[in-house]
Amino acid sequence: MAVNYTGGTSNQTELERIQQEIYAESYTIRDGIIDIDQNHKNGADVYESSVSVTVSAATTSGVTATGDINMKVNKTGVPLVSFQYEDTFSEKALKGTRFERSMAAGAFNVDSSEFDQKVLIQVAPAIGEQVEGYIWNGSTAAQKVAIAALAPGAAQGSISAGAQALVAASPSNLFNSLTSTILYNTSNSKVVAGAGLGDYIKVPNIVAVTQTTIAQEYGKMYAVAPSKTINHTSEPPKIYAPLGDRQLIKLANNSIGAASNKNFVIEGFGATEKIYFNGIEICFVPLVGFRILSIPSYLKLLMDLTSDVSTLRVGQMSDGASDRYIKNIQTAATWVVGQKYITLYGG
Amino acid sequence: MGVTTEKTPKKEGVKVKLDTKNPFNKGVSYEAFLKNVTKTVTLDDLFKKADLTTDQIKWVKLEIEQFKKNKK
Repeated sequence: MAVNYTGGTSNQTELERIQQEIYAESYTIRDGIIDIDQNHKNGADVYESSVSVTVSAATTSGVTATGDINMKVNKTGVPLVSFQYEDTFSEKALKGTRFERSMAAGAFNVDSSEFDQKVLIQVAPAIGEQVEGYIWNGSTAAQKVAIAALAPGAAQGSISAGAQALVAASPSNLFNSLTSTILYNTSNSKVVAGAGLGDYIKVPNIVAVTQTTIAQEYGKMYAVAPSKTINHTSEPPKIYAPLGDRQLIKLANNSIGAASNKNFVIEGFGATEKIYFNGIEICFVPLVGFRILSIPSYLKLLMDLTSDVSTLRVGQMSDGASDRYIKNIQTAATWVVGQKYITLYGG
Repeated sequence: MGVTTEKTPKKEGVKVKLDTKNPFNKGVSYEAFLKNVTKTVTLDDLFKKADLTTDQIKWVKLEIEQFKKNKK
C-alpha cells in the first residue's frame, strides 16, 4: 500500500544550544587594572600636588622666608560625557520559530522568554566590549583636530608623526580614550598648564612590533621609563599592551632555534595567567598601536557608576504597544595624573 | 686725573637660537628640521652631521615619511 503525503517536511529536532557570539571581556573595569573612580555626574575636579625643597647651610639665626620649600597644588576640572544605547524591538517576527513555544498564551503576548534568556542577554556584553574599546582607543572629533594640529618632532616633549597617524585612524568616539588623553589634555599640573601636549615620556627609535621584535621594543619602553616609576614598589607599574601582544609574546618566547630566548615570564594558565616583562605585569587591553607603562592609579576612568556598563532597562512601550524598549546610559571620562611618569610607546 | 666709569651694558632678553639641524634637539619639529634640506644638503648629510645612530636614522626617516603623509 503506497503512502501519499503532500505538504513538505519539517525538522523534528533542534540543537538546544543557540551558539552565541564571543564578546571580549571588560577587564579594565572588572579587574580594576587602572584607577576607577565613581559617583561623578557632570564633572570632577582632579587635584595634584607636589613639594620641592632646596637645602642650605645651617645657621643659628631666626628662620627667614627663603623660598626653599615650595608646595604646589593644582586643580583641573574634568567634564564627564553621558552616552547611551537604546532601541525598540518587537518579537512578533519570532512567531513560527522555536521561540514561539515560550510566548505566553494570548494574541497580545509575543515576547519569548527563551529569546530574552539566550539572545537579548547578549546586549550587555556587547555594550561592555565596546565601552572597553572606548577606554583605550579613539578620540572625540575635537580631540582629533587638536592632536593633528600639534607640531610633531623626534625629541621628548613633542608628539611623533606616528602617534598622529594612529589617532587619525582611530575611531571617533563620544569620550577620549586614555591614550588620547595622555597625548593631549587640559591638565593644570603639566609643565605648561592648560590645553596642549601631555607631559608623557615617548619611546624613540621604535620599529614595527612583531614576534621577532617584541622583546626589543618592550626593552626600549622599559629603558626610557623614569626610574622613579620602575622603582615605585608601593604601587608597582604595569604595562598596558594590545590584546594581540599576548600571542606575539608567546610566539617569541617559544621561538625555535638557537636564538630562542624567553624574555617574558609567563605564570599560570587561562583566567589566572600572568605575563611579566622585567618583573612588570602586562595587562592586555584593546589598545591599537600604543603601549603604556604606568603606575596604575595614574590612569583614571571617572564614571557615575561602573555597574552602568551592564545595566539595561527593558520595558513595555506605552499606549498599548506590544513593542518593548531597551536602554543603557553611562557617564564617563578618562584622565591622567603624574603625566611625566607615564611612558607612552608610540606616543 | 679723570675717573672713567664703565657703564654696565643693559640686560636684554637672551635669545638662544635653536639648532634645528638635529631632529632630536628639544623643541625641533620635523617641519623646522626639513627646512635645512636644500639642493646641496640632503637628509643623510644632516643625519651624519648630527651624529645619529642607525636606529635613530631609521626611525626618523619613517617619521618624516609619516609626517609628509599626515600633511596631505
